[in-house]
Amino acid sequence: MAQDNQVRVLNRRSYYDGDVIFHEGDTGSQAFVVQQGRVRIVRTVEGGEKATLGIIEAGGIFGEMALIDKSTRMASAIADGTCVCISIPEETVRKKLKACDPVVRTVILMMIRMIRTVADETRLPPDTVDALTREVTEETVP
Amino acid sequence: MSDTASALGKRRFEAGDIIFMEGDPGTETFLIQTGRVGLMKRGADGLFEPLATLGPGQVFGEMALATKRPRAAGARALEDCQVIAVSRAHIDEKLKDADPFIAALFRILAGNLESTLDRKREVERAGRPRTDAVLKGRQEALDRAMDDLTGA
Repeated sequence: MAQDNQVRVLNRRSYYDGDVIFHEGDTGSQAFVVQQGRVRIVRTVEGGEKATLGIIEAGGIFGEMALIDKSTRMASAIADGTCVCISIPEETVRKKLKACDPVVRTVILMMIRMIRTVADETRLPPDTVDALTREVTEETVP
Repeated sequence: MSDTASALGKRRFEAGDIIFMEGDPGTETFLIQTGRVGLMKRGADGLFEPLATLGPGQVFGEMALATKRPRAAGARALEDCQVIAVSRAHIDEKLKDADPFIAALFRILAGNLESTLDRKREVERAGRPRTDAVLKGRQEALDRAMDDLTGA
């Protein structure tokens, strides 16, 4: 199918641990799929500290919101260990959105707006080495 | 066409009508065409506190389309009004026929919205969110959606 060919011609990039894939506040023009490794999504909280919003594992998508609503990056995406990401062409996303049912498109935009609003309203505590270490220990206890 | 009309229905409410109550199961999102709607929440003392007043062109009850949570607030017609109600069944039908990329994107965003709401609730309750464990669970759902996206 022509569509499959389109999806396969994608840019792939490797990142080292700590590399910034995009910065919070940047204008967004690409969405990404993690092919290998992990990506940490980090946001600035009160006091200028950083808080982890989530970890995207292989197969996961990130960066799609700013691409769709033409806003700025809500958080930074940072390689957690070496990782490989595929970028999804903006053209593809825009074309498909334009062609889709207007009600579906409206709901997609609404969900993005809600995600941004709720994230802004959430007073996340900052990451600390102690807290992150404690979480790892808790999870490994069955 | 009649399916669309009933799923994407026009509704009229009279001043004072309760459109939905806080805690009700939510299956529809509403767009106001005419009139005004007041959102309200029950306070600690059991009395209703007004949250917001919405007018023509504004949407309310939008969480219902993305999540299965009960209504976070109640909605009442402040004056006679006409609204368009969009049901989740309508959206699910549309997603069935949609480009798989769009359907996958929708599921991913709905999942992210749930995570974001969960996290907010965690923070408000305990002052510290669970992170990796909760999000890994979400990630499994996202991986399934991603299979459609990459044509796997």
